[in-house]
Amino acid sequence: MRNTYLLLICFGFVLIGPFVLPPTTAAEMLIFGIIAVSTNIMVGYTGLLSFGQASFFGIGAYACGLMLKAGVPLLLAIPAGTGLALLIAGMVGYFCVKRTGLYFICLTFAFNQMFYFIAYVWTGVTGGEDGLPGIPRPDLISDPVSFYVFIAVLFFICLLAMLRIIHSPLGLAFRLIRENPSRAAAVGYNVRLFKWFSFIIASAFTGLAGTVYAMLYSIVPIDQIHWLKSGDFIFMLLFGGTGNFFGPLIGAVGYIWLSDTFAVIWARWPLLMGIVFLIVVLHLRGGVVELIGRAYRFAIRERAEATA
Amino acid sequence: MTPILTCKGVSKNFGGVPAVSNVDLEVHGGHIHSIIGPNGAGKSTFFNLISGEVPLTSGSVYFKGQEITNFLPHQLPHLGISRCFQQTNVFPKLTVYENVWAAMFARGNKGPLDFLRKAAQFPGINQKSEDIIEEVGLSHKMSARAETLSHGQSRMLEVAITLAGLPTLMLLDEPTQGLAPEATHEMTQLIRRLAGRYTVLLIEHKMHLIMEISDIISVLNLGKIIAEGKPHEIQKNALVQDAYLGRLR
Repeated sequence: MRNTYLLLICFGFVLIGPFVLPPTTAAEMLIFGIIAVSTNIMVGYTGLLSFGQASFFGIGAYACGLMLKAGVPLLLAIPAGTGLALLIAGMVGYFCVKRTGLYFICLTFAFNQMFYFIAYVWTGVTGGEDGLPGIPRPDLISDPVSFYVFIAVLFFICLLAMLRIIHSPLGLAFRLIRENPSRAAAVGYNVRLFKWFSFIIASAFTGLAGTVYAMLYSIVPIDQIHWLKSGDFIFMLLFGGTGNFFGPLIGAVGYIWLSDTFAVIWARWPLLMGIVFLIVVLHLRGGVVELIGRAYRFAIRERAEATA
Repeated sequence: MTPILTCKGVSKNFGGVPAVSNVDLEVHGGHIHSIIGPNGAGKSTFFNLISGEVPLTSGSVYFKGQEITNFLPHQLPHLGISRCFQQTNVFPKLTVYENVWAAMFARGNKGPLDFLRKAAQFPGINQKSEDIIEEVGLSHKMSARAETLSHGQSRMLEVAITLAGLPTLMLLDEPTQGLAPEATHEMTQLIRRLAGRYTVLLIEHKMHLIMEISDIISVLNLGKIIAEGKPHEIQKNALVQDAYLGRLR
């Protein structure tokens, strides 16, 4: 019930988005919204902190970009790019989930660096340092507004799919593992297998977001596969709040607004991001969602005292 | 009658120090079989060996004739063995209902597709989860988070999660650990109700409880079984008195 309201609020924002912001910026927010929510399945729900999600974002983007340049139709390029990201996530995840805690994080980080350097040296295919330019958009979605509509539809499909996963027994199994892995095993869940599923699901949605990102600016810059991008995804999660399904969306919107709109006003905007990050980590562990919750409880208490 | 659980020569060394050495044990169906012994006797280690938390140094374990030596912890519930822990080990941020439901679903699902269905589509599991919560007396706490429960209620939830695995054999590691007399009494009543329906292997420290509800008692001291028998036999056993009270002369 509560989720229905929150979905409606999301829908409202998606509707007014292209009127208050440039449609391209709004579309970018939705793309990173998919990534933030999917990364949260792994980080927030399963308790697996990954610093390697840009790998799958980049793989999806490069794969789809190359296919579109080669004339592959969009409706084939998106599933194929997503499928490739899923496949590679399956292989990478297989090794990563063998370790826990810090070692898991280091493994995701190491794999991310590996994919970055593959993209860096494989200039003939990826364009190396210059990125992969000249990615065409199909005529039907060539103008910014129709592209936005396309992204918005995809965004809601992804959101509903992920909501369903989180509220199914699979999502419950993820939360069991976050809460208490040894007990989850003792009641009969194969912890490593479910961690692997979580890794693959999160990475596949991130890869899907990558495939459409390739068309956003018609270029895949190489920094999109750099581990710093993975760090940005984690920033979005922490800023928005990992405790709620929709929280990371706030983080994605905030981050894109800072990097796209605010960056024009003040080139040193990452400094501001650092300050925000400090405040969130020190005083607001639940992110913006926590802030909203506190304000809500404060308002209720004030009203109760006023009537009393 | 063939035993449900058979342990043959089960041993565990921690860095050369024997914690459990050469234990032979048979647990028969429908019995409440207790393991007692002084602190550090190796009781919990012995449980961890059976439930796969700790690998055996040597020896073998059979469940209903099937060898389960060194099975991984997550495989055992599917065979019908479930355990509770000495230190309360639940899912703190989940509700009491979710704690029990998840344990029941682990065994009750009928394949991978069930993992993507909605919880409402499993009326059998939902009903049985509620029944178990009622059985342990936590109905009024159904939708409370596990972390908000009192110690006594947590111990009850611990047993409820164990029951939710619909086991043939339950391994209960000190279910009354740290409980007040009133709560201990409730737990005793609960374990007694379970007798007959389940086979229970029980570790306990509270002597009057053990003597009251056990069918068979095995006494573990310094990693070895030093006596086994019915409660009244154990009470009279000189070796057991030595182990607990210390040799007087």
